[in-house]
Amino acid sequence: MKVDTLIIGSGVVATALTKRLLEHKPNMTILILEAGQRYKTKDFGIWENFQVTGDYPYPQMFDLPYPERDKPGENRLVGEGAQIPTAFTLNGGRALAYGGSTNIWGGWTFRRKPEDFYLKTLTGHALDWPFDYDTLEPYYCQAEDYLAVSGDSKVQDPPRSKPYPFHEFPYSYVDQPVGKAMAKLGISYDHLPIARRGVSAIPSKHAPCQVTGTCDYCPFGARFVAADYMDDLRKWHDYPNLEIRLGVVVMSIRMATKRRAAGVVCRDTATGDQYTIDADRVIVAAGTFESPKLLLRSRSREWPNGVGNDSDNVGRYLITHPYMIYAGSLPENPDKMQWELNFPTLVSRYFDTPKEQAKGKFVLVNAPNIEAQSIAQMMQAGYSNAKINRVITGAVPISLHGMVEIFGQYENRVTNLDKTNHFGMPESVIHFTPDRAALERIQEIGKVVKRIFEQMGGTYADGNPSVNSWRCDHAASTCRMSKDPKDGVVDGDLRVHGTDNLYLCGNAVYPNLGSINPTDTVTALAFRLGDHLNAAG
Amino acid sequence: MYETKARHPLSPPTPDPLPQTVYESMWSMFLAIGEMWLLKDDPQPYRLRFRTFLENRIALHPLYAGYYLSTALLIDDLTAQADADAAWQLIFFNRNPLNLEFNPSLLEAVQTHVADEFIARRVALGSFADFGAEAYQGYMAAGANLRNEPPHYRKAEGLK
Repeated sequence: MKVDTLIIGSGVVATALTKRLLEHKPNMTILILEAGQRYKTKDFGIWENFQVTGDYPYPQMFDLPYPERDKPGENRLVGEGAQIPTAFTLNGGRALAYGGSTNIWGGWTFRRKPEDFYLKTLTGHALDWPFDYDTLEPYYCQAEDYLAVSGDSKVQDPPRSKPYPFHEFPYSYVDQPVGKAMAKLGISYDHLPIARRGVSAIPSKHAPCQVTGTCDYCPFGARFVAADYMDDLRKWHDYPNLEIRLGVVVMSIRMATKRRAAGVVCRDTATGDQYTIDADRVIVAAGTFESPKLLLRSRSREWPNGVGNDSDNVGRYLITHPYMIYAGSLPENPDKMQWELNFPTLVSRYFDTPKEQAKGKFVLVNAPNIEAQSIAQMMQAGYSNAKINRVITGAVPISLHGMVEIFGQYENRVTNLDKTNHFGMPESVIHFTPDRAALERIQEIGKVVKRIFEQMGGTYADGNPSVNSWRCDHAASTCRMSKDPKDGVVDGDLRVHGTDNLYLCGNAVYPNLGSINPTDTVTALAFRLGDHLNAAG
Repeated sequence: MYETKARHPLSPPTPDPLPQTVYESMWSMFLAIGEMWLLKDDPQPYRLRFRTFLENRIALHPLYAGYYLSTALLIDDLTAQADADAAWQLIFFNRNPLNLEFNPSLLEAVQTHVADEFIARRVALGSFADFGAEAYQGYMAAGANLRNEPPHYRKAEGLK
């Protein structure tokens, strides 16, 4: 079998890129290979199950937890990070399925700021990006249209040339004490841009958000999930040569010469059959862990250490965000303030500035804390009406969630384990030792949050913060972009250094992450790659 | 995801479809939630959606037909022994069923798979408003985020 373009992975990168390529050349043969399976979206029965049980609907998409005594588990975490229970928890942290991790994402869609493209120049950390904010800005606009982002178009930090496709969600009542306290302290805040489709004059097959607060499984498809948009390409367009194969693991990339990829060797997990596919170009879009692992597995006489790995950068400089939860409480809640909207509407990027860059920029989000006041859970526990009202009007838990920029270290990396997981994919070894300075930074941010809580009239909890996870869905930098091949894995056009027709797109190519969620940027990169490939012919 | 073949070997045989009396019994339990917690919302508008909810639960997990049938039988037994109010008190508020004279696992199953789910559904359908909120996780009647329209949740005042 021979195709024009072979894409490995079916997440947002594959979806946006495929759209861009087929808009340009509708008859192009594109084959997308996905190791996972399809899960049903927008199903009312599954949504009701999630609503009444709280059971997360996606366990089949997840890696097993790391091995423990008496539990074989999957993957390995080594280094000092292995002592941190929430470090790089692949289980629940990424989705191996049609549509990728957009099945489980929260939809926070921030742009990087101009200084984030010059981290090396400004601080000495990591690398600069091979291009600047202005180069990516038009693609951010396209990404936000595609992801259906609701945001405040008046916010011009970073600058934007087009408004968001949908207007911002008004601040919710729980933002009131936080916003007022921040204002008194001189800490700016804004509406949080979020991928929830709104209403506009532009026709869409996708329904608008109905603010059900059950976004982990949207019954309408108002939260962007790449699977729904890939389905659009298949069902509603005349793209006769687009094919998606599920349950197919790519074992290696075949190189015809040092510079030219010939195709891939893959395995059907249902039958166990191994076969080859030829392609004019190969795009690796398999995520921050699987993309470098595939390059490392693709050894040949020309590439003895794996494709693109002559400088030993593949899989290295693994970074992510520690997701911090700073908890506290207010002494009373006479207005019965509750989390009526189960997604955040307020973010402060006040500390996401050049001034903070050397120590690690951070953002603070007033994010949902619904369980503490769940009326249903109190009723299920046998609380009477009067007792529930006493709980709601009494001391109320508060929290601010934070993400901080972490700088890459050569030793932190991902490699292949000679063992197969329950999807039929090679397992991962994650080598991770947190930077001491980063751990100190996390504590330092707590001092800012403490001031905010005290300004609110609340208290700051002992033992803050809890690091909810070192997030696998924000993991990045394992195949970073670089101008010089000795510093990275791909060039500014996302082509693997030293090759002509092998590309890689995903968070893996980020030289640094900044303090914000990566999906807006990776979608912009996918559209930019599409334009590059279309221009290349 | 949908379990198309699952049926526990120890489950009692369940008629397909369930008799109307079972649906009526489930509806009576749903109504009792309002009585037990002194909820002020009118449940009648929820009736059609509640019936659909039961059917969806069975379609997703076929074991639910057995849960609903067993629950109806338990309600009948408890009501015959004392009265309906005592039955609801036991089901909704006795969370330590080990001291019962009959099989506690039946009551636990009814509480977990039926009563607790009905509570979650009832609150999300609108009863949350009794506790001061204007929206809640799973509330469907809110509507979209329209410019120049007030949001369907309590908005912060005094922020920029």
